[in-house]
Amino acid sequence: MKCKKARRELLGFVDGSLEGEGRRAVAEHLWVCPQCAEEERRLRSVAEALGRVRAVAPSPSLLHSTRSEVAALRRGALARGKGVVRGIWHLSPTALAVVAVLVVGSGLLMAHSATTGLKARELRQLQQRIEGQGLLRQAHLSQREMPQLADQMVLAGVELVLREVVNLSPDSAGQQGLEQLKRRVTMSKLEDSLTSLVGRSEGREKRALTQLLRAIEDIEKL
Amino acid sequence: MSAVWRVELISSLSEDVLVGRTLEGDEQAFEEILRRYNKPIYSFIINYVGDYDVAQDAFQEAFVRAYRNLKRYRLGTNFSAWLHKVALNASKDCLKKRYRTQRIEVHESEDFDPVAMLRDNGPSPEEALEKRELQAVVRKALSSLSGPHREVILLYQFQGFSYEEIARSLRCPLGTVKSRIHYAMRRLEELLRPVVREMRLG
Repeated sequence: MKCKKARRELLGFVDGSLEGEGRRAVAEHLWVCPQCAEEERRLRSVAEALGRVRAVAPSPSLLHSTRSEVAALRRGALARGKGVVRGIWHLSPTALAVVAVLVVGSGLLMAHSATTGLKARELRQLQQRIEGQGLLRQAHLSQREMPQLADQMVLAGVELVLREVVNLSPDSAGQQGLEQLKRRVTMSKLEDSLTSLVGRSEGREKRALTQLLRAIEDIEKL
Repeated sequence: MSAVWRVELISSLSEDVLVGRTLEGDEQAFEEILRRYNKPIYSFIINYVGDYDVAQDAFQEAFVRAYRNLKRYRLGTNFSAWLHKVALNASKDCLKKRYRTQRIEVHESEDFDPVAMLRDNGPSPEEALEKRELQAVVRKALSSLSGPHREVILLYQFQGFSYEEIARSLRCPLGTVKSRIHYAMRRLEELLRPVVREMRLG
């Protein structure tokens, strides 16, 4: 190995990241080249000196004020409510479509199940519902940023599907679950939230929200 | 008991999980991120900016920006590297702001006498080391490097990132990162040589 190449590899040699054949080649070169050996000794000594510098912690008051700043940011985002509209748009098109499909799909299911009573389809819908929740999470649908809407969209979808499951195989636990859900959310609340959002949004967001609102109104008509 | 369980549970979560939970509104998740990273990020910032007051502003700004932009972090990549990049940008902006309002003393390498600094601060270099005076000497040496050299050497030598991680984080060619680190190490070696010699004699 020549000095030029050895010098290029010296840092890796000193910090241990150079391994195997490369490391052996540098070590052999250092045996026969006093200049490179001196360079290696210098690099190692400065690395050791730097390694003795301890990490410094911020003062408790700085940590406290940083926490306060972050908390204020969180409260500000909630109070402004901007996160809701941005959040909805952030969902589009994937998660928003999932929500719409689930709500519409559940509604259609409700319309047909009285005559067909397809349990397998019910289960598929439930599965989609769960996957939908996963998608919502991936899309960072924050239940804190969107406290009412997120809850209501998810629960309204679940309610519609659960209602059908209960219709097919009524049992007290399922009925109880449905009653609990009903107490927490109603379709009218969801509509109210959406109507208010449509009023505050504009452009593409407004169109997407309006479509969703119409889909929910259609389900209600069914 | 449940509080202890909660602490143990959250401390075992990966950064990606903590990011996901923070985005879902879990306040404790971001608190855990702050707990894990406050020391390395503060060390990085203070060594980069070399000024106590600027470091206070930059530290706060770094975590506020990290919180605000958490959605931009791509899950599955290196969270630590992402956070250091946020801290680096916050530090640069805070330095610029400070330069606009008042001139920070620039440490010229010609005036730099690390051994005298150690002697001024303690009767022997060994004792001075124990009192963390080496920190001040090294920080002064770092401040005489250019910004690009300082940022790579801090990420490499102090924060333990690999060349590849630094290159990805700074969006800089690998060769450039390597040569900057090499140059910075040589320069620091020159600046700190008397200290290292004193340390050995001590």
